Amino acid sequence: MPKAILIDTTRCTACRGCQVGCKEWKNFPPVATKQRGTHQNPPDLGPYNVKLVRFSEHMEADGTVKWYFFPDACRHCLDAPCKSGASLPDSIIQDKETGAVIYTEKTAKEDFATIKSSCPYDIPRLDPKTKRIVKCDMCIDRVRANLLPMCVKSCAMGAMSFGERADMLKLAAQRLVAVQKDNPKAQLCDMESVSVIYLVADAPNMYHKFAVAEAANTPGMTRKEMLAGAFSPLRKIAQSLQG
Amino acid sequence: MQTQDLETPADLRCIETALSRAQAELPALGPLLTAFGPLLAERARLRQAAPGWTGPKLVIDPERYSQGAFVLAQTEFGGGFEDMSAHLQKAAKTLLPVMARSFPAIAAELAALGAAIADGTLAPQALAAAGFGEGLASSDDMPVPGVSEQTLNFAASELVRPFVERQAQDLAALVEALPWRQAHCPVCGGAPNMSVLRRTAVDNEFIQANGGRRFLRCSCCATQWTYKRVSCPACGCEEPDELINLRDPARVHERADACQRCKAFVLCLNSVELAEVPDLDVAALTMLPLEIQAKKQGYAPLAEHPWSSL
Amino acid sequence: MTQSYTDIANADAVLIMGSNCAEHHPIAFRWVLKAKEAGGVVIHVDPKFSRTSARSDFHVPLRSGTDIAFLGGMCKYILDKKLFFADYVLNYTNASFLVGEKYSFKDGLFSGFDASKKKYDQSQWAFEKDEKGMVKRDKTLANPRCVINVLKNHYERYTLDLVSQVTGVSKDNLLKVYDAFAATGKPDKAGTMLYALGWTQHTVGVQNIRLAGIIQLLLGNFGVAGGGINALRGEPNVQGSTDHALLYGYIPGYHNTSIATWKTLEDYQKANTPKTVDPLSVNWWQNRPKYIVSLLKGWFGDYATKDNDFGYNLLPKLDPGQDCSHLFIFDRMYQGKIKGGFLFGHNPCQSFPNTNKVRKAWDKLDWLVVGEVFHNESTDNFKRPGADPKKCKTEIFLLPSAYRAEKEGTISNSGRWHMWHYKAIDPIGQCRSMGDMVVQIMGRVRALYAKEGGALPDQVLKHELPATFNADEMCKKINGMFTRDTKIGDKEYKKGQLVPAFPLLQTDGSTTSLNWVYCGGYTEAEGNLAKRRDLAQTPMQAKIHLYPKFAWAWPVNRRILYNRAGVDLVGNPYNPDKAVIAWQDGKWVGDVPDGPAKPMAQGGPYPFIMQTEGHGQLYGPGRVDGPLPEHYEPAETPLTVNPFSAQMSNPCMKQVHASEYDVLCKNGDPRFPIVLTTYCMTEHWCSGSETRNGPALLEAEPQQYVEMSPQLAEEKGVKNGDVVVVESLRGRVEAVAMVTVRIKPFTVMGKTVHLVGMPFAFGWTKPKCGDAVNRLTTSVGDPNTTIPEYKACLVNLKKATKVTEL
Repeated sequence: MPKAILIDTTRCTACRGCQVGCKEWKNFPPVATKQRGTHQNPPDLGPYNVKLVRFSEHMEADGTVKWYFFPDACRHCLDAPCKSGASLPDSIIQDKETGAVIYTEKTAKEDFATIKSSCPYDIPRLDPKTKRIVKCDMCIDRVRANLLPMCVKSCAMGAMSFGERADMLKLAAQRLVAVQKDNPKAQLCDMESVSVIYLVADAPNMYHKFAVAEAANTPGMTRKEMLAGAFSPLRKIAQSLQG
Repeated sequence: MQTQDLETPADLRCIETALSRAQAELPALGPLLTAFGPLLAERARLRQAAPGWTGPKLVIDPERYSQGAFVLAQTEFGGGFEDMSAHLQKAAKTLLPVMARSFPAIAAELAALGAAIADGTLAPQALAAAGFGEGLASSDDMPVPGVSEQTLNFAASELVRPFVERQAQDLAALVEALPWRQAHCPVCGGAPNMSVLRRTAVDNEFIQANGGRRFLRCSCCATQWTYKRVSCPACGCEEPDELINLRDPARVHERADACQRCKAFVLCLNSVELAEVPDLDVAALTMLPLEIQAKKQGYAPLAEHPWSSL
Repeated sequence: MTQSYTDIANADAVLIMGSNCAEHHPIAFRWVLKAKEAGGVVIHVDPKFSRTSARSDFHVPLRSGTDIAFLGGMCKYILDKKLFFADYVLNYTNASFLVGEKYSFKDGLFSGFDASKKKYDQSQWAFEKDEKGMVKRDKTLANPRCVINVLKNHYERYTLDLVSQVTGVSKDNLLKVYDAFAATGKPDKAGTMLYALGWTQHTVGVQNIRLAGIIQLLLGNFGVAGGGINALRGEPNVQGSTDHALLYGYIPGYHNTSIATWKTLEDYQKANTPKTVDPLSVNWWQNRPKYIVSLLKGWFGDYATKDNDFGYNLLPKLDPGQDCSHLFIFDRMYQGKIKGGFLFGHNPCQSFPNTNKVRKAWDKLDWLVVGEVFHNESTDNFKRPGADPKKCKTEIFLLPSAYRAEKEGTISNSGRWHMWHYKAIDPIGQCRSMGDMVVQIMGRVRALYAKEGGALPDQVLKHELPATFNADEMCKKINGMFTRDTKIGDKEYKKGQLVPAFPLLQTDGSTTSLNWVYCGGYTEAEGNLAKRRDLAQTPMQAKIHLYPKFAWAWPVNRRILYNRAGVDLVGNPYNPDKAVIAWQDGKWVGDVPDGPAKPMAQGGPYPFIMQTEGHGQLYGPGRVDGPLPEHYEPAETPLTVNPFSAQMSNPCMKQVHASEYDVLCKNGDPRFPIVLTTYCMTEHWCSGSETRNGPALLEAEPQQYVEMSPQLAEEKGVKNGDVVVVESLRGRVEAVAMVTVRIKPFTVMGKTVHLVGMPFAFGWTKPKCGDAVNRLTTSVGDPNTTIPEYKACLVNLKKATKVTEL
């Protein structure tokens, strides 16, 4: 049965428990960071930061301030463009049980630029030491042991839920109705095509450039569809070449 | 009281998932799981189809209830679940063959019992009475030739249980909003043989307690109710130094909560970190080694499981 | 707190002012949101838009240091529009008391000011009394000297226009807050005020809170569910340490430290025991002598007898007027007058104001003992940038401390709940709890004294000291015991038995209690009540989330103070749906009432039992800087004129002078036109000396920053992320500019005033993370408490040309 994570950003307070918890569970080394004029740190996802809380603030015309938080990580697409874009069959795999998209050690043999550009959410990062491509694995080790993914476990605000996809969709729909009462622009980001569903109260781009997989320049087609379409033949060619 | 609703359609899947996970994790318990697994599944099927509480609408006195007078103690006709004997013949047809396959040693007895129930030799009322541990227990002459008292009681109680559990679901709903602070079951007054710590999602946009609330589970009707966490349900002791938990370091989410003062224990599944809460019967089954360990160390359970004496 | 955290959920309006509750008291904020979910309005008034603002109904930016102007405007608004709770004000507050004729207020000064001493003669503010000593009252409120009229008169100047011009808050925003909060003046409505260091850390800190109290009295918000004045304390156990007299001016249980002129116990008792002739006033402090004797008896044991004043003369005594708060301690240290000392739970070289001075003062110690978990700016001060370790004469002993989870004991939360926490694991290595360290060290000192003698031997040797530290035993001693078989009324108590509650404490030495407010928290029947975790409550209690069996609250498990003010004269709750107590069938039900006596209509006492005259003090002659709060600018202000009066800053403000760093900008100093306010942050705890050692936390918040508006950034040619130098008259700090719309420029008296904000968690012991922001702040303090003005001083900033700290 496929799993899903629902991230209700209206409940997130950017305490960064998920960011820190993820790092601790994965035993990633600390990254030397600098203050750059924002609370968002590290600046971006990286090989040792596969979960990152993004901060964005806006001032409306009447002077009202909005401050939005977006705990960014892999969406675990149901039909993952990165998987379609991979040249090897087992570098990027999808766990049947959970739907988690997993990057194996064979990603070291993939072309990083290809994989990165295939992702409509700008998630994959390269580990310069191992040359592996790295991203969130939905804590597959934990989930297989019937444990919650670390980010969900560490979320003290109740902003994250994990469970059967069907249950999460139900919960998402309920929360959307509640949030829409005060925020007519509220929406569930790419709900039909991803396993990590974000509930946002405002236009997604107010949270993060890549909050949703919008088509950059192809009318009538989402960026994701476009990428998937572009890479699928490439993969076939690659496979045929490799025999 | 906060009771946990069991959504019946999910029950079966839950049992199956829990069983297969337990099979994989605990090969040593294989035979036990193979024996009791199908029985638990069949019971769930029967529970799903069972009628629930059809009796008169009960009026609960909140005052008495808060003093510890459980639901069935407040019925006019002197307590107890509704008679389900009318359903037992049908139930026996499906449940007894499952039991026979699971427990080959008593297969012949179960077959004889099945026949006696089918042809009316054993009256459904008598069967129900046996299921509740009444009536037939002291009888010298076995009502069904070739069936031992032990087998009769075992089978009868398994037959009665799905109906009891289904009725209890309806009764528990009556008192959902009322406070209940006792260690006995708010529906039938039974003792708990299992407990679970659950994440309880509060509908509040701020900090959530991740410690989990403690639910005790009734050995008789499977009702679950909240109970104070750091306290012994047997003697009320709240001194943390006296309350210990026994556990297998490899299975950190399972433990026996034992009280050094009164020497009682209750099994406990800490499901706070678990993605899915497994079926609690299966969970209790996988905790049999812990149960045995606790008994060896001189602790006594508040109530037994069907497999406890194996 | 007059209430408890759980009570916040009962409020119809929550005014969060001087606190960033969501970020710094996140658990408390749950109860704020419960109030919001139930339809209450949540208002955040703060210089900066924070996560608290994001979760409130609205945020109103306020120039730091103008809270009294803001609240004074609200006070006037309530009085002008008659939005106050008239019955409550008349019956339960001192609104009808007559203020004596000597009282006056002229151009910023109250009567009785001695400019040379910067002190008032407070006797000039006294109430007028009749020949029997009863305070004169005019219940028609017609007399112009009635408190309510004096109050009206005082705040007449606080017009919407002027308040808006001084605070920088728009008139619309002022009205939005005033309307929303004043709506709780109805009998069945309640509003709560939540504050933290944003109110206290000013030269008018105490008067900020006084004025909040005045507003709550006018609105009838004391004694009711969802009301009150609520200081958010927290993990550092500010509540518990205050109860147990962390501050120099008190001994445990809110009694004054003795001064040299109180030569005998009798002198002390006489000077500290208030008297009233009004038989209806409980005047609880009249019991002080019992608590003092029980405290002395607890300290000195069998040695303490009636003949030796129970050891009173072993207590250290202050010279009259002597200030031993940390501003003055460090001043003396700077002058070389202090040789050595012990330091626990503090990082003064990072978190005390005017840190450059503090660091130099630290160098002058001969020896220093520090109990700490990590090395920090205070333990390693001799190695600080620019210092030569070889030249430092201080011998430092660093005692490794047990961490929080490595020891058992109690913490008192802001709601006065005394809560036990269990040890999770043993401390690593040689780490010990502070209690253990103190007992062991003192034990050895005493052994040496016994052998070799020394200065003040009785003070060292007569004190009761346990052989080992045991937190639970300590709780018993704090509660108190009978020292001999005693009969009180028809009840007999055995020697050694725990005293059931503080009304049974005695002046004759038959009882001990190390802190009367905690007496009753440890009982013979139930043991240490701080360990209770029972959520049981009656339906009436459940309606207001009272949880009377969870832990134990001082006093006598009363959860909401002054709850007799929450009922009318016959004992019916003003808000029956959220009743705290109610008089039913001849007894009180609900919370523990402020005394079992009958309601006022049946001859019962006034509700404000801790006040000498039993009434809530709209007019409060007890504070040293005035009976009514008045707006004064911070010690450093961007204004050249205080539009409210000729008195620019608090005339009684505490100031130290020993060093070249003890300097203040002149008013409206063009060199330093920007207001600086400082604060904590979520990712680092207090001075950061613990959390900077957590790699993932440091990764998330690595360096000192300064938050500023885009307008200021543009003015200064600073881009987001640039390193800037922030300078005050006292020091300079490098910080990364965080240019944010969450900070807005203020329009004050027609001019633009910029405000910047900086956290104080970064220090040099973590390389490249920046250094103490408190090098900028001033060493001035509130005249009542000497709490320093961390929240407002003047700075300037410019883009850094050379970066050394980051």
